[in-house]
Amino acid sequence: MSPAEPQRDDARPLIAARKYALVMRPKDKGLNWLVHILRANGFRVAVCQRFEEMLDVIGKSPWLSLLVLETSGLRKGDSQRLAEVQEKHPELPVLCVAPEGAPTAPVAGIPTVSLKDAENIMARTEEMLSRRFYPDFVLDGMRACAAETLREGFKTEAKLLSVSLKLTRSVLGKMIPFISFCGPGVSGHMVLNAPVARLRSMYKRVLARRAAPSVDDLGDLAGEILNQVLGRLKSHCARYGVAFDLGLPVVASGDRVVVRVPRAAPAVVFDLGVPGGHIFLEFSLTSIDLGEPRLITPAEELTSGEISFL
Amino acid sequence: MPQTVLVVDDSATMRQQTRTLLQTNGYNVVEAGNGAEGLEAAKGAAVALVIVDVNMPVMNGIEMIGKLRKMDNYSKTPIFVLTTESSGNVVSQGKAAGATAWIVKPFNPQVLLAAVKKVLPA
Repeated sequence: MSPAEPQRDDARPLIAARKYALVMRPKDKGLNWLVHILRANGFRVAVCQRFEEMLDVIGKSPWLSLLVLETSGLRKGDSQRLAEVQEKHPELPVLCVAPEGAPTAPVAGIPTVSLKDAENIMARTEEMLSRRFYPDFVLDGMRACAAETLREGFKTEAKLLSVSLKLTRSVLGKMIPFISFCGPGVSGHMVLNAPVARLRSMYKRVLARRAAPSVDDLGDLAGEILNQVLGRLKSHCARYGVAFDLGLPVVASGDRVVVRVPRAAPAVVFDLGVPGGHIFLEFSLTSIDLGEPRLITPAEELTSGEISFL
Repeated sequence: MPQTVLVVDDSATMRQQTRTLLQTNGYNVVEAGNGAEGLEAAKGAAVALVIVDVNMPVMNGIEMIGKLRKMDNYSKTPIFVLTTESSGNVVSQGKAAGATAWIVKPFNPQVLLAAVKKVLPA
């Protein structure tokens, strides 16, 4: 994956994403289920029925993180105005939802899904919100780093099954390993959520020991997984001018561990299919400074697995 | 007589992986969980090679390498750094402290073994 060309636009302010969304649906109850889900997950959702109302809300709300627009109410000329909105607010994700039989894609480049396909609407919504709160290079980097680390470091073939938002603040389980990171303008943490049985089978694969691993052994393994995934992500982010240091892995274990992590933005959860089931990597950015332009400087770095004599 | 390798890493999983690889190939292994313990272990054993992580509690690997180089009998002992760190800045710090080689995790067992055999010929 090659770094993007550096881009600077000092004239356009960068607004940090907030948990605000706008849904425009002409019929009184259209897309109510989506509004309910977003509100239940901490989003403030404004709802309107007319295109002019929608434009008014967008003009007054620079912190909008998503616009969902049911297209049945669009009139002649609205598509052009929608294109102008997109040009004026390129950071605002827009998802169009079209009734069955209606023309798709009222504006080129804006994704449009069928009103009847609730699953697809939700998946697209989560994907767009993920990219609103997290830079693309972070999400793409996590995808690659997680699978490569599990395969090369822990003899576990992993396939990314889905990326979704985790909007609740608590992490529940019997053993919760997490690791934090911090650098100029950026901080966050990563959590591994895996059934004990998955960790046990990985342990046996990695260490080829017959003796059953203890809870401490499994916690140590999980902590090392996090350490290596985040280490790899660190190298990836350095190519985009984002530097951070890793903390030490911490493992909380007990009959029922609850870890409440305050965060202003939803976490992104990567569901990885591994032999025997799933493991989940939850990644959160508690802060990232969008005001600093990202100048790309090539980073000198070594490749994992190889040895370099100094 | 088998040569002794000191493995220093706060992760028991990493220590065990490295131990298994080295013992299977005829080396003695001494373990330590952080840099301070690593220095104590080095005082107590005739260590021919040190494999050390960077990010550890109590004392990190860079600091441990610097102190080890000042100890009797360790000015020329090969020291491999095995870590997730790959930035040029950290590698430079390790080199300045006295590291011999740098390996970014996850390690390739065959590559590590070849390097060990190179610095510790039979």
